[in-house]
Amino acid sequence: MTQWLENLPNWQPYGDPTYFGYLLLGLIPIVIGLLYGRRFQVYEALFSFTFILLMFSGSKWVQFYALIGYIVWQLMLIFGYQHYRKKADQGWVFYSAIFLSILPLILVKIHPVFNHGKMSIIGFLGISYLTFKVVAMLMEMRDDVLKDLRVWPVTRFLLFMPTLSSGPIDRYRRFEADYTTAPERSVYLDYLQSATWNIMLGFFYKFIVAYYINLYLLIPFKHAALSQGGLFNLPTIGVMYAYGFYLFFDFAGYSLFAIAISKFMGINTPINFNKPFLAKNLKEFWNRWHMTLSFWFRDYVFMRFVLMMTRHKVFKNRNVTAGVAYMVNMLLMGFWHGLTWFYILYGFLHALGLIVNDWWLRQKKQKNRARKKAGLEPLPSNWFTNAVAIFITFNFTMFTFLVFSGFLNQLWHH
Amino acid sequence: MRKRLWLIFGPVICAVALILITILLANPNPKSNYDVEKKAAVATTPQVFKSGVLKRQALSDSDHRFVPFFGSSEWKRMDSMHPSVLAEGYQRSYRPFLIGQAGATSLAQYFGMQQITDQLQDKQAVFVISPQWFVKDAQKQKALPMFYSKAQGLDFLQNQTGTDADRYVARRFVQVNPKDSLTGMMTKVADGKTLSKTDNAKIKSYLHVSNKEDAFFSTWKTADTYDKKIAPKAEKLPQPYNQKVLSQLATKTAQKDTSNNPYHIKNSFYTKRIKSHEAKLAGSQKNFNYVQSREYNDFQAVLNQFAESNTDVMFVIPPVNKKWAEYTGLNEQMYQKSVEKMKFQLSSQGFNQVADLSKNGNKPYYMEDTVHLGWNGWLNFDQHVNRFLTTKQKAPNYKINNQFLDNQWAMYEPKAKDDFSKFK
Amino acid sequence: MTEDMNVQAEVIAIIDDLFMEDVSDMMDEDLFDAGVLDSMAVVELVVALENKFAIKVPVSEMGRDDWNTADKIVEGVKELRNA
Repeated sequence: MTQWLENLPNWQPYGDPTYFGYLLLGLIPIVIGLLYGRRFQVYEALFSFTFILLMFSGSKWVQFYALIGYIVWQLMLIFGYQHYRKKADQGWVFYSAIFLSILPLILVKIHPVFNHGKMSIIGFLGISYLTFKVVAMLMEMRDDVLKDLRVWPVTRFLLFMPTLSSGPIDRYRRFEADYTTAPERSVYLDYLQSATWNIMLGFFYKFIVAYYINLYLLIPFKHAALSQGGLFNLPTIGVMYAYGFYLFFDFAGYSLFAIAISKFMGINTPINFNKPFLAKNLKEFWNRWHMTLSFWFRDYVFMRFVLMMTRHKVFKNRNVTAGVAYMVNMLLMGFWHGLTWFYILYGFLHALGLIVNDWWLRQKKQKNRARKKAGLEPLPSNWFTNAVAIFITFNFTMFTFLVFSGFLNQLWHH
Repeated sequence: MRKRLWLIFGPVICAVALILITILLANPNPKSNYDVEKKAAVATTPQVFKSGVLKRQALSDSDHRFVPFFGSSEWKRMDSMHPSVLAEGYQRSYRPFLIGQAGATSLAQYFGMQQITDQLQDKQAVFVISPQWFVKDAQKQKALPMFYSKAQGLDFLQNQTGTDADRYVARRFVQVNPKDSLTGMMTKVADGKTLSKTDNAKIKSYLHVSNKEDAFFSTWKTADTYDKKIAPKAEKLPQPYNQKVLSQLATKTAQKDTSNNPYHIKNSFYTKRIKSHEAKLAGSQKNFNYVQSREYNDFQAVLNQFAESNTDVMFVIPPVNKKWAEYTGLNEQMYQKSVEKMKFQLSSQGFNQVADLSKNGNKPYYMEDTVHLGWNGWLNFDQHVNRFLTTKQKAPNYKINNQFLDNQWAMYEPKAKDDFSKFK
Repeated sequence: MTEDMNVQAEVIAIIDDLFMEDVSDMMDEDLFDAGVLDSMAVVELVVALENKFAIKVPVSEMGRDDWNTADKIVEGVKELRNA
């Protein structure tokens, strides 16, 4: 098996035009089926399996076994917990289940820190995105809104090929509803139309814009910044903007592909980016940037954390509660990206930004309420204030992306 | 439903079909066209570097003799004594085809050469080796993506016969591009396995398409360097050719162009690249080391290619600006050691055409800036190269020694007056 | 009937108290879009509603599609009270 796997070609998801060629060819039977309101489940499974296999074939064969092991582990946890949850609902069992489901990811993240940056053998491309899906399921099982799960639907949700490697992160109940009912023909035709558009736009984003930004801006700026050296210099500002845009066009392009292929398969995977650089404040930014990740953290970390603190009246002041929750939420997101100072600082900066943002919005609200009572006009809100707000938010996020890029680490330690 | 499907997919299908037809109609072996060739020869852009079509078109032109000049950032120092200007101005029997710019080191050159092996066969070439390539970091080859194209990798796979050098290069490729689409086949070559029939068929068909693509886009790949920088300067050269007059002119021009700094560095370079952080650069190169580097192995791969193609090559080793080296603390002894090491690697394998200019860094106006030849340096370069290319040379006789592909050689630190007996 | 009216009045009062916004003339508007609610606020609101009406709102139900207008919140509370 291993040798066979090793000799297969390796296709990274959405890597080059040829990949799309094969992918679209494989999709044809699925598309025809869905046009006639039928889902060929067995064919779809084979199709997904083939492309997942090719993601981890060749020199990456170790990851294939890691993936299989990981899925078995998570299925055991999910069904073990479901079995338990039918009878009881103790906090410690729930928390243990959550811990065990995150454990593989924790090990994968910690491993390189103690092994000179070497990857753990239990890691594979997409492990963090799968972990999000599983944790969300466990939480909803505790809330009793997810029950009577069966192995096959859960497996196909976890291993949904288009979004396996880097999201967008879907939710089980939404996905399952899409999957069990083939979309109506008119709806599906709309899917096909938007999928075609998304693939073209994705090509433009990822293979043209991101490619050229990298080649003609990011690499030269990095080069210039490194040769000048020092703590900070002018080309580093160039790196900051170039990297920010590169990250957006690369990742948004990728997300568009994943969404498009999902739609071909009749699944309406949620969008991941919505013009993030037009956000007027940081809170809005997180409703527009890597949305499925941000919403996951909002729903499964932030809101639950706030709820717990509010119910137990941990802090009297709601602003303290919000601040602590933002900090926990964003730091956790930082840690999730990896155990390096720059990812963690990135999380910290965003937490700080959100706290300030929250405070400012509340201030504004209070002022406007007071002005309204006194019969005054509300504080000005026009194209100019909006432009200033967009400008500030844009530059703050660009700066945090510079931190996130790890380039400063390179600049200071090279 | 059909109408709707056609509205959705029709435009895409038409566009793809149109693109395919246009590209497949392009001719990958265009007829000689001197206008295109002379522009490509001095464009010094990564696009020309990557374009097999443009390089082959010029180098196989039977009416005009283009000679490949392999090198890096020096080609962009297009002052009035640049070899392309002189060749044009004095209507030499050859024109340099400049291959390489900043960041193009041996491995990039090796892959670039894979596209023109037929054009190198039994011909002459010039190769400028910059000791600055030979840094410790050379193994990472960060600039390679700028110069590498898939067609080069495919040409390599097609050319390779499983020799030690082929395996070495494939191994390096996998190290530098672990995620590339050719990594699988490269790994096979690195492991000494032969490529399967399907592999070879794949290479052939990919290469076919990518050459068509290259041919289609090659029209837009040149730059207007020839009209802007070469032709006007060539026109202004004093006629007829006179070394003394040229040298005086070079010195006079250089004096005027290096007036704002004590290092005899071109004014614009000084203002743009040095002035703002000059103080920080004092002593900054004290620990530079070109003696131990992976680059020596990569360079050997290039030599293997020249030997295989029986190319008669002149190697030029440039100096560094002495005044600048003193300011930045670059160790001259170390520099000379690296030069000795390169020269041994060359001479011991029969590469006897070496123009060692490395000791000329303190000659007046020899360098245009910190590490690049200019004015008088270019004139000196031209004397060596012109003689080499325009007089009859003995046929080369190369004896390749694969020890130079070993890490042991890369890391070898020569002693003073070393005779390198270990590697003979 | 009167009890239903009470729920509505209470919900409006709670929102006004917590978020300084009078929503009585925008019962049908998306409160997230209007900037009245955000992820923090919706939790506060839920806790306040739970205390006021002695109900328990499942956390997974607090999504933006279910509790996004004042009308829907009132409906949701009524349903949970009758459950």
